[in-house]
Amino acid sequence: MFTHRHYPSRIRGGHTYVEVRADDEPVRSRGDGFNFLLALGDSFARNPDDEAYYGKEELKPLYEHFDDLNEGGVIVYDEGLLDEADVTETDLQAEADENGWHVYPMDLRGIAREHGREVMRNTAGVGATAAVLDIDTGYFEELIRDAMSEEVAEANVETLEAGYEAAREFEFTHDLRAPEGSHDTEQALMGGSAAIAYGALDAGCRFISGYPMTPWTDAFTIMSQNLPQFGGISEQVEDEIAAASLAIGASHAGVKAMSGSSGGGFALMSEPLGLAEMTETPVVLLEAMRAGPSTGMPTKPEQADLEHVLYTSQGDSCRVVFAPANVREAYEQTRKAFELAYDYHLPAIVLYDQKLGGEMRSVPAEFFDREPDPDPGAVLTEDEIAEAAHDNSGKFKRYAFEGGENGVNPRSIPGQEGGRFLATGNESQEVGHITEDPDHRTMQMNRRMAKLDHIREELDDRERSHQTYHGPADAEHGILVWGRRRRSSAGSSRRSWAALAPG
Amino acid sequence: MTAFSAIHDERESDKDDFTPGVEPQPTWCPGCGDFAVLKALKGAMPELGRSPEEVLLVTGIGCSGKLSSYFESYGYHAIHGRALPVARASKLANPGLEVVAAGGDGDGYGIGGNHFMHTARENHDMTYIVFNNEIFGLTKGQTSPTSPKGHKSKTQPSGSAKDPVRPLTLSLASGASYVARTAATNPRQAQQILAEAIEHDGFAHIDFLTQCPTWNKDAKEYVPYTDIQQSDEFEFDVEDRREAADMMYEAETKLYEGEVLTGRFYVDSDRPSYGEEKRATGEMPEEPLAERRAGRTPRLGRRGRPCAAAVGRGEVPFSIRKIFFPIGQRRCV
Repeated sequence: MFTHRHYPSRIRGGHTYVEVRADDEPVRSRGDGFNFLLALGDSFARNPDDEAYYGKEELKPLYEHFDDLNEGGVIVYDEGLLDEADVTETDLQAEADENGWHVYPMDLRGIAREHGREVMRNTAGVGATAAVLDIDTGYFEELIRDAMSEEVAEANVETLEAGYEAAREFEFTHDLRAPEGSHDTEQALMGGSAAIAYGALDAGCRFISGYPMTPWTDAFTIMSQNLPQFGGISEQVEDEIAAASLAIGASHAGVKAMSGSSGGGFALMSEPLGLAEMTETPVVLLEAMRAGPSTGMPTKPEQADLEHVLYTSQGDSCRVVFAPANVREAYEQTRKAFELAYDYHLPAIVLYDQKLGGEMRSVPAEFFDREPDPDPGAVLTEDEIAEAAHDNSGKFKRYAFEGGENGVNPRSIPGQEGGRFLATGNESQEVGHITEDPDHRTMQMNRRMAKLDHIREELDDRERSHQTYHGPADAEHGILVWGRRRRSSAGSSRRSWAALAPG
Repeated sequence: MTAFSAIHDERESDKDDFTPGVEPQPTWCPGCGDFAVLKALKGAMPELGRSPEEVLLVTGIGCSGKLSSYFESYGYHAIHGRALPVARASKLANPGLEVVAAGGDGDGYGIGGNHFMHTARENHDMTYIVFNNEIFGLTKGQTSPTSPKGHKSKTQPSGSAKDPVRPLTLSLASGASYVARTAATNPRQAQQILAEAIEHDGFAHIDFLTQCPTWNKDAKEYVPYTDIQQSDEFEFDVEDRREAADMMYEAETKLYEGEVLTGRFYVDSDRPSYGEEKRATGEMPEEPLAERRAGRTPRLGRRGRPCAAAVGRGEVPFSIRKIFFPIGQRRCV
């Protein structure tokens, strides 16, 4: 199962839809076209003026999708809401004849009003869909009862059944039926934002700070709703500069912490991001891309922020960027981001987009059956601090020129006996005092940047690397992609080489 | 057992414990008011029984930001204007730490003004010292948010057309529960006020007048000063918000007329700190979050799997399955 949701960047109204792609074989992308359309129509934001730019929005669920509906496809639309005259205007009949579509107009609004309330039109539509595609309504009933209070659920179930029965009145002319099959194992239906949040919780993250911005808000919300149950803290703060700074402050005090935003808000994090690199404070930041520049198109996916997250902030970058391709990778790479950030004392960024964040996919539940990782990374105990090098005033050499294992100097945490040091955004000596000595600068820069070599080595392990290719190894041409587009590219390249293959 | 044995350590300390060894020596100019802040802080900490390693001093950028270099404790020298967000998260992560933030008037009332407003609003249990010298010192003498109207500087050669920020009034309106002004020329009062502010359970803001003999020669040396608590001239209730507001307005106005009024302007001991408020909502753990890292909690979960990691103590009080796994084993459609 694979889903995609589309919603306009508006307060109310506009054409909103969800695509669901289901097969008895695994599905990995939206694919091209679809076979069934349930057009509920828009119940507000109508503009009666013929000159209006947005026009008759209630018709969009129908005609916006004509191009994508496959031959022999099926349409159910709410004739209780869409006037016959308007529908005629869209040339629905002509299109349907040309493409062999099967059209079943139903008064979904009437059914909902009779059995529940008008707002339950969608439930009536789901009932009709179940009838048209021959799906047992029991599944939907279970979901409804799980999600709603008893009284509301009852009305919805009644509306569902009524929609189902009303659709059964038609003499079906279509062949389309929902594919049948079963999984051997329990499946989780999960989106990228939830997978990232789940990965962060399993990685031991117990602090998040943020400021709302679409589409990053999803991950922030899921974390905020869950963290208190795990004894963690979520802070909604005044802006993204504060958000990233708080995560740094919490991490400095010994907690696994994260923050995040979308492109515009992430721009504000440039400054604290550099601070985390210089002070070697571990932190994980999310960047949920949306179409830019500036405010751009807030609810639309775009993948144009890679260079932004790689290089933003002055000076040389010392960070790790992950760009997961799917829900599983979103979980795994978020965990890896925490692991690297806390082992190597640098910021790690998880870069994804509105599409990956919101798409729901079925993933075997056992995939998430992993050991949690409460390990705080490269941190010293008080006993270890006592053995470590200090300067003549008793300050701990947190930034010793000679790096420890993997170039990393394990840190002390404020409140630990014998561990006091100064973290500073300036270039620093071994205990953190500010320096402009060329030798100090060279040694510290080399030590910090050397951590990246160790990380490259660690990630380049074939077993753990997420770099992958599809298709023949001796292909003449290739498509280089990163992040979420990998799946659709793999799908199209499969088709391309199928088309090009001799015979 | 705590992982932080320096916290609530009973050992006695003195000001030398808060002084670094041979280096670094302060590089502030001779006659700079910043020395007085350092001295007052070094005096207040042992008075309160604090030890260097239970203190986290977070500073911004500027001459004032160097305070964390010259004061012996855990330090975080952050970026310009961002000391407060770093500091308050550290306090949330480990409420046992004595968290003090410091910066200049540009740092706190200019670039970091938004953070100042919100940290005061939230009433985090911490102390914020603003070195107010009415000038940008480290960048060599530009007009600052507290420079008086008409002040001539390199960047406003014909004189500033702007009214200065009223820091005390701003602080009160934002929600700080302790607001005071002291001056470098009044070291005894400075140490007393600093000690009070550190003890205060909530956001304590000190506008610390620190003369800049190098770049703000026009400015008074903040003498003669008047302690509003000692003077018979000023009668007001420091716990009354309206009276405090009037007193602040007067002090802010008089500063630019050459009269320096210092002392406590507003004290609200009843308002709970942010940590307490957040704990009351159930969204802040009883045990310091920072302590948890020491313990490796076993994997817990209802019905075996799947479950999220390290859930602290006892049963997971909700079903994570319901949130993350809305669909169980059923026929694939």
